[in-house]
Amino acid sequence: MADDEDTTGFAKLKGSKQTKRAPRYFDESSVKASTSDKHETNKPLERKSEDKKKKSGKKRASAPDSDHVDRKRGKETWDSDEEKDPFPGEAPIKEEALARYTRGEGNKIKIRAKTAGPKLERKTMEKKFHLAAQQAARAELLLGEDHGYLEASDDEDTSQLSQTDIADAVDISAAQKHFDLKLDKFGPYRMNYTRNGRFLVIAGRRGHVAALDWMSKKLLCEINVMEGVHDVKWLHVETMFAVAQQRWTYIYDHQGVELHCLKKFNNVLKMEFLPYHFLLATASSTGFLQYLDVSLGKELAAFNVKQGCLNVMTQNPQNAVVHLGHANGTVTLWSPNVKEPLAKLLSHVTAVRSIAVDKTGTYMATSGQDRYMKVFDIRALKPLQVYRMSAGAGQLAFSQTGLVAAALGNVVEVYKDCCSNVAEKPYLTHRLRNNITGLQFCPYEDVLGVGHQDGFTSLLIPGAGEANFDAFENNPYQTKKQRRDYEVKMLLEKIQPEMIGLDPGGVGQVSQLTAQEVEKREQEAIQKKFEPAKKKKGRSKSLKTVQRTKGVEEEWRRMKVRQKMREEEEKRKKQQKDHKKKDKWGSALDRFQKKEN
Amino acid sequence: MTVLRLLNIHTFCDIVQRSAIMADDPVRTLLAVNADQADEDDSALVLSDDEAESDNEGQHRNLLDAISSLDKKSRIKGKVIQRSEPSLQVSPFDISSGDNGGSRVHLNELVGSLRNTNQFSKVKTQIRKMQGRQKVIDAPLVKPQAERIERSLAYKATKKEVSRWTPIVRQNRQAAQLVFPLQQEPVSLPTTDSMVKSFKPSTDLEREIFEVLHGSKFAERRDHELTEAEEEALRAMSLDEALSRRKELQKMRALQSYHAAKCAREKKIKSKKYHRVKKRSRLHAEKLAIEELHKTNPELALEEIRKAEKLHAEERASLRHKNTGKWARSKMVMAKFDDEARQAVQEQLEKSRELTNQIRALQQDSSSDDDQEEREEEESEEAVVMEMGVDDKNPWMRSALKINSKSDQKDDPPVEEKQQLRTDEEETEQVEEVTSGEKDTIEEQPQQKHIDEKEELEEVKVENASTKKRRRRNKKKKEGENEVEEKADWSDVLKDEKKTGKKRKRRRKKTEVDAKKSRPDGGVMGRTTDEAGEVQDFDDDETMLEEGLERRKTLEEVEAAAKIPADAETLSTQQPKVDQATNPSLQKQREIVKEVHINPEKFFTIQPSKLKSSAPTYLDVDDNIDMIDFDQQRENIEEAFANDDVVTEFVEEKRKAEEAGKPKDIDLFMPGWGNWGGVGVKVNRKKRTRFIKRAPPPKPRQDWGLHHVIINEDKDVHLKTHQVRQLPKGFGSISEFERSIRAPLGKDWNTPSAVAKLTEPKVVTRAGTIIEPISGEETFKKSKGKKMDLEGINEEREGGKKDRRNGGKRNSKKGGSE
Repeated sequence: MADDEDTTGFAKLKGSKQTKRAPRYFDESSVKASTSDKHETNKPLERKSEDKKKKSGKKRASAPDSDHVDRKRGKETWDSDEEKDPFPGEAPIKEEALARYTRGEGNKIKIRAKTAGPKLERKTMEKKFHLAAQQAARAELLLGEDHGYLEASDDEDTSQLSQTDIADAVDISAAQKHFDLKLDKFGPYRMNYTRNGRFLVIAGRRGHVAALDWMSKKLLCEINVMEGVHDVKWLHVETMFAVAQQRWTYIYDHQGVELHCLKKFNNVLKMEFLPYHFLLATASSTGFLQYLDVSLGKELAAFNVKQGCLNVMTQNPQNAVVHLGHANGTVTLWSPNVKEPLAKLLSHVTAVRSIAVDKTGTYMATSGQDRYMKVFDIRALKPLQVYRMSAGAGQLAFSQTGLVAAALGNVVEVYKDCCSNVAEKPYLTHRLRNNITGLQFCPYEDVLGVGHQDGFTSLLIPGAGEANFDAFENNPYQTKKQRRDYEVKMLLEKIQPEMIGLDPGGVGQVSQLTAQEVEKREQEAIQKKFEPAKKKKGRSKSLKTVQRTKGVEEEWRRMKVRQKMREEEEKRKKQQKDHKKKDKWGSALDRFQKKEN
Repeated sequence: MTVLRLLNIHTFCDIVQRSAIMADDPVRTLLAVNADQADEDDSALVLSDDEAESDNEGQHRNLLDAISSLDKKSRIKGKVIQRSEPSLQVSPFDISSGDNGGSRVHLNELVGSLRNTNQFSKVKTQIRKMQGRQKVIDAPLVKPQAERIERSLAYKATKKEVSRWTPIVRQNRQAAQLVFPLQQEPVSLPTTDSMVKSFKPSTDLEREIFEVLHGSKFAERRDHELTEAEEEALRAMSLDEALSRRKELQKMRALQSYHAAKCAREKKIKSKKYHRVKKRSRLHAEKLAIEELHKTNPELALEEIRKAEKLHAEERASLRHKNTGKWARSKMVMAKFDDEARQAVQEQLEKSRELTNQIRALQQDSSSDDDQEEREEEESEEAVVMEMGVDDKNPWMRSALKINSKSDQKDDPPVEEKQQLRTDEEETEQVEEVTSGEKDTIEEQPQQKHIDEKEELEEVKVENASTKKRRRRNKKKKEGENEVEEKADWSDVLKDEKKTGKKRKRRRKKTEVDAKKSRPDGGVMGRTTDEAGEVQDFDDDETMLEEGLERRKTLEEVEAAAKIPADAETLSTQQPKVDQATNPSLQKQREIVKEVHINPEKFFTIQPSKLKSSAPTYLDVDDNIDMIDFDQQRENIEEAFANDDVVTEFVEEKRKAEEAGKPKDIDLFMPGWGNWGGVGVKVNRKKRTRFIKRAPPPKPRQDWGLHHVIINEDKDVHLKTHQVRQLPKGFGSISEFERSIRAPLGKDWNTPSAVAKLTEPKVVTRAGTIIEPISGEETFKKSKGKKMDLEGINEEREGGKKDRRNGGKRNSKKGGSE
């Protein structure tokens, strides 16, 4: 199926060896390709239509495939008058797809007919799990879209392509996504996209804050907070965003009305919003990491990180762990439940300048002042790649497809396949006039947002966005009503902050007693006191009770010792027996040995 | 007396009646006389004793006479017959007494005279028959006993009745889902199959076509390859042909039987050696075949090699032949005394090695040159690295101490020399192993071996094993004679070096131990040396020669590194290298290096790769100049002060964390307790240590081996509130439980149909329908009709098991449920 899709746009381009073409944006001016590339070019429109179709339960993508198969089958049946199915059984499933949905090895349950009961139930559940995985793998058929990349011919290099080249090559609607906001009065700018990639909020260092629907360029609000602004972040929906101002943190709504002033969150430099937990994590210049539960409006936790000013922060989207970078080259991983960092990682010998984690929680890229960029496997905490750059990257960002963007001074560079493989050159580069201060890939779009001294620039990076979106998770075409429903649903499904940890599957584990707890229990068992019963006729005098207590406790102790001795004796005997058994066919001369007992 | 007689009469009557019951009417008629008389007597007696006496006396006597006259024989013989019938007269000879229960009146005594008559033939036959089975009903049992029996019988019957339900109950219990009411009319649509089967041609055309398709000889048949006509043609062969064919077949059959017999004979051979030799030859033949294939059909050969690779991989993955099994362990115990056991253990190990080396062996066969071998070794290394999916520059992914082959080729001494050194090392190893084999007890061996294997896994260090093999097997030696000869030359030269090598090793160990003792932070680094020490021991020379020098800076620096460990920062490794081959200070350096405990290389091991990134340019924007300048300045300063002592700090921090995580000993010693106390009193150390409660050994840390990482070992207290505390009932182990809840059930992760399936309820009731209790009549209606016995039910149960999903429907037909 995917191959079929490819042949329409991507592969064709390859075959014709044309350059400077992004498969998704490419709009061949000639007439011949226009039909075949139609669904590639009108992406947003098509997405909408697909969305509608999804609701009606029919998938456009599956239509041609089924046609094809039917035709084939029809022919088969015509040829042989037997009723044999030419494709017997169920359609085959790709193994790698199945592996994606099989969640580890299952239990192997053996059942004896009579003792079935719960075991049988579990066995049927195992079967159902397998079935569910199979169906999920089959449903991948519906993910018809494929993110393509720029392909260069032999003598050219994708990194040499300028934004204008790309914008010229793509269709109008896509070309419109490349734009420049010239705001040189209030820069440098920080920026943030909503989770569905529809809205953008930018905040200039000198107090200018603006929220906009960046695709239609419709302004939601524009205010000046008359104060320095360090960072800005959307909250769970596009009606609210948090702004880290000079002194305190504020929350505004999409019309620019101030909703809250969070005085507890002062001197904040960087913020992260954890959408599933409704937590706003802030890192301040005073060295505090704080968590605000946005759904309750309460401060959840505040830790003194004891590393000085915290100006490097990011989150791991997979397990909601916050990563902080420090001046001594370490990266610390935090959860709101533990006062100490969950892990500490020495990544650079100089200060860490930026960190980024990819959406699967597999890779972490860090850059330091030592002009290195390092990629770690964050699950194993092991380094994978080390890159020597021309300058230390001030900003790093991962795209949904795993591209890495780095801001080297005034240059944005995007690297492809730089995590598992060694990248030798950038995929795309773009030079700006000024220092870059904000960098984020727009979700579900092939767009990279760049905040800098002179305002904001939106760059086209083909292949950056996830092509198949899940409308239940993030819907770029969300209506107001959907948004409201979504908000309620999200609140209902809020994950408790206690579940944040390095292993997000920790909730599914059985909590085992630690060694200390075991010891404590044992101690308690030992220290259990005997309480003598009251006796009459002067036999309950304090001396008598004490004596009695002592006697009983002594007896207890003896009992315990006796039991232990007995156990040891048994153990010893057993060992002996085993040994004897083993030696049964020992040397022939053993028979002359003196026998024990 | 009368009472006695009365009793006698009664017993008599009783007997007669009983026998009458058994013999039916005729006897009764015969005996009626007597019985009546007795009854009369009875009644008379009951009425009045004395009056009746005189009346009956005469009659009675007559009767007695009559009866006595019947039996003439006895009278003739003069035997005294004891009689049980009542008589009022007590004879003085005690002929007849009332209570002589010992002898009974027999039937033939009563009716024996019938024999002589010709009459009553019917009665006679009946009597004869009756006499044949003279069984008398037992006396009725006592009530409780009878009831007990009754109960048990009733229980049996009920059990049988109830047990009919068990399969149905079980089926319903085990059914994935029950839909009530269970009686639902099954809806079935006609299938195409059934339509085809029931099709009958109606029109003329249809009929014609049908005939052509079904009746003709030339029509294709379902289960046959050939049509009827074709088969006939085949059948019509000539006689000669048929004969020759028969002969051929006979010959073939004979050959087959010979071969079978041969195989059977060979199979019975129990000699292990025979089988070993046979297997070896087979393997050899296979290998040759693969080689042959390699020449002729490379694709097939590749497949074969792949197979071998798979075997190899499986071997590597499994613990088979690793002497971890029960058998091996038992052998290990025995090995002390038993040479054979030892040999067996060693054989196992060898086998595993052989298997793990198979690929290389295959490759080796194809090439004979030593250089080739070298190259291939590197290739295999690279392959391993590639397997792991990383660049070979990444030492985390490849083996810890392995060479960077590319750079080696460039920078290192020529191949021969390198090889020389390597062989040297190999041999030292061998020697050491031999000596250790002598010194060490065998119990230690498995451990060592285990380590060996580990290293093999990690480093794909093949040559070591292969040399061992060479040493052990003469055959192999012969094969690779050339190599050996070449090596012999070197070994002569290097004999001295060997010795020094041994010494060196011992010395190194010593220094290590010393260092451990002397270092205050031995706790931290101690472990690394403990556990990594083995690895180091094993490979040190190699690393020093091949890798270490490349990485290491000048001698002075290394020395400095030894003193201030963290000083050696390696990110800036592009430094002039020492020409190792010629460097006279090589040995010295090695020794020094061995004392380095904090190896900063462990922190930043990956060779940085350069990205062709474009340098930022700073345009002259007046506003920001100061800011940029500041940034730049700071950066410069930072860069200048890079390598400060970040690493040391980190190491120190990690050490502290480890220290804090360790369980501590508890000192319960009280001075003066049980001893003299006070100033100047020496405390016995033994006594003191007796009061120290030793802490259990610390658990291995999660961040062990990750020198650049500190992982917080404290448990998350908050998470505990959400976790399951006790293993739920019915689960064997924690992992079993955890696996059982591994898959999500919600619709966010599953397709709708899967969700429906995953969350389907056990019982579904249709709204608005009456659910009747299950009735036996309905349930067993069919089975009765078919006269099914218990087996039939059993069969049904089997069927139910096979198709549980249809259980409901099946039941519904019969109307069964719990």
